[in-house]
Amino acid sequence: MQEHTSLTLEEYRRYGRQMILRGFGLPGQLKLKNAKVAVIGAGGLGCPALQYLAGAGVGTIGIFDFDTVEASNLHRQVLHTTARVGEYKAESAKAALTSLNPHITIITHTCPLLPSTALSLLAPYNLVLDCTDRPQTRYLVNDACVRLDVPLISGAAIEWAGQWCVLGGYHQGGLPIPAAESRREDGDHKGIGRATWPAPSLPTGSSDQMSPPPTPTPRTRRPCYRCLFPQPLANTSGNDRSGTCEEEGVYGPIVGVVGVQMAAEAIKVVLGVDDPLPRLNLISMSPALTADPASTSTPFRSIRVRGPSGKCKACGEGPGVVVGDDLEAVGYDEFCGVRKTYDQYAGEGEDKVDVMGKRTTTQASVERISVQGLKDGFYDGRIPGGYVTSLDPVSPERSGRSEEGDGKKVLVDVRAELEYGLCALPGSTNIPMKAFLSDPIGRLRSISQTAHLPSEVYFMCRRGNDSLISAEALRAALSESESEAGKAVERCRVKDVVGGVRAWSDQVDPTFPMY
Amino acid sequence: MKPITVLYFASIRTHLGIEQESFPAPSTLSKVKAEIVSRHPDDKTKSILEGCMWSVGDEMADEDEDGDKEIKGGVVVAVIPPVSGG
Repeated sequence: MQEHTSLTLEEYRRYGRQMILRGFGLPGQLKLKNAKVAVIGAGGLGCPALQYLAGAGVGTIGIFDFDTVEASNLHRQVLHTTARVGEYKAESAKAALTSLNPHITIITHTCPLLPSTALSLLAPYNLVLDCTDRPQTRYLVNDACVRLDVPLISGAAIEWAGQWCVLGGYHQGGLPIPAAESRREDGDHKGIGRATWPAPSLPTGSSDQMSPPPTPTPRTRRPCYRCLFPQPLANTSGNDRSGTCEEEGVYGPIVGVVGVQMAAEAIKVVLGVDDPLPRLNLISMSPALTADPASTSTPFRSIRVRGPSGKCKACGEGPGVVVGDDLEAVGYDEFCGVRKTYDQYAGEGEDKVDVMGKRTTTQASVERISVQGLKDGFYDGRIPGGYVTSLDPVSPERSGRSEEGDGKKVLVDVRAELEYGLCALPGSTNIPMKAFLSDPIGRLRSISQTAHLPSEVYFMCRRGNDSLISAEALRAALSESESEAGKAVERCRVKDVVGGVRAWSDQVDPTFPMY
Repeated sequence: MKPITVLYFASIRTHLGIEQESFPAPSTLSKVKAEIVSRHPDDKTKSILEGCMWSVGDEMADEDEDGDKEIKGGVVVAVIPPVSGG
């Protein structure tokens, strides 16, 4: 592909303030113009990263995102707008960036990056930014970058904390020629080769014919994501969405700062003025957790990490290397412990619920009911008005009796207290899951206000994962106490509301405020 | 001897609800890890720690290789869980 060797007058004006910085100059600005940068994810990290890459004049930017803009994204995904809710994020980001800088080329990719497609989709690029939100994609993007031999800027943030680092390629080695433009070698998988790195620069100044030929300066390879994080964080929650912004919450400025740092690293990598040693940078913006003046939130830490690990399963040399030409053989979902949960079936009808019921055959006596079943069984078919919030004069920590007040049916909402305070069903009782699991029967007795256990217990949460875990824990505790007593002590039906308050909002009453 | 300061980041900070703790010096990474678990003896602490990276001073440390190396008083140890959101 043709290299740009000059700038237009407009580009001089636009980029002048950075071109006079050390490391930039005309050669630096042309390196940016010739760079082909793929940004995976146009969300919390991708938006600020894209903004600064486009502003700085990266000539070709590929935006990968198959998701569409939702209102709940807008507090942090600052390229999208209220008017563009429902549009592809990649297209929405492109619209914003085009109005920021019309001198660059933006390519949108609205299909997901898969093991079968990652190599061919990323082959035209020579730098990748990982702004994704799930571990399996992180490992896939890393492995594709290792295979294509292009550098990767990795960033991640959740709740109040984030981290970023520069991976792959060579320290201060700039960018290679993309794999798609490189000469293909025979036998390459699906014809996709590797990026071509320019020969290391030769020391200049020696033209003396008598002296030996100069030797190239050795280049230092950066580690890859698997060198730093060989194993994903174990997911013990039984919820595949754990670790996502939807489940954990996210502070808008944290993704802003990490995304901007990623762009800052990317620009330095393009210019070849990045750190000479690999570093992992950590940042936290958490609110003060104590009033102790000696305590500090230590918001920032930059740690020197080791170079490439010989044991690495992606870029290492050993026999355990799993990453080759065929990324489909790697098994990312299994590696990251991703299973199909009921969540993918929620709201799709009773048949699907039955399918998932089989997952819990060991605790078969937990009844899985729909939100319609909750309405019929707990509210006698009525839609209860007046949802409870933490601002209500009557504390939501109420008796937990159903509206009939007979104490025989209880509805336990196991969401965190803060979430319960956002909005809750009337007549429900909040017992956060962690507290409930510590003593299921004791907690239940504490709300039944009689010597007996309630005859029916409904469990509810946000989406239906935690409620099932809690219901199963109660069922198991009841079975245990029955076998200790040698007989059925009390009859107590345990019901789990599939889909949680989200399904209630979707299927029963849209006036329930879903967050 | 000054104590060892352990900084908690990301999910381990959220889970424990503290930013940092002091541990007696001298120690080793293996001992510090065991002591964190004994101070916070729940399953989740244990499972988060299993997936964490560690730094000692300003450098990343490998639990397998560096677990028994001495850590002097005054050194800052960071517990670094992988973060995947974005």
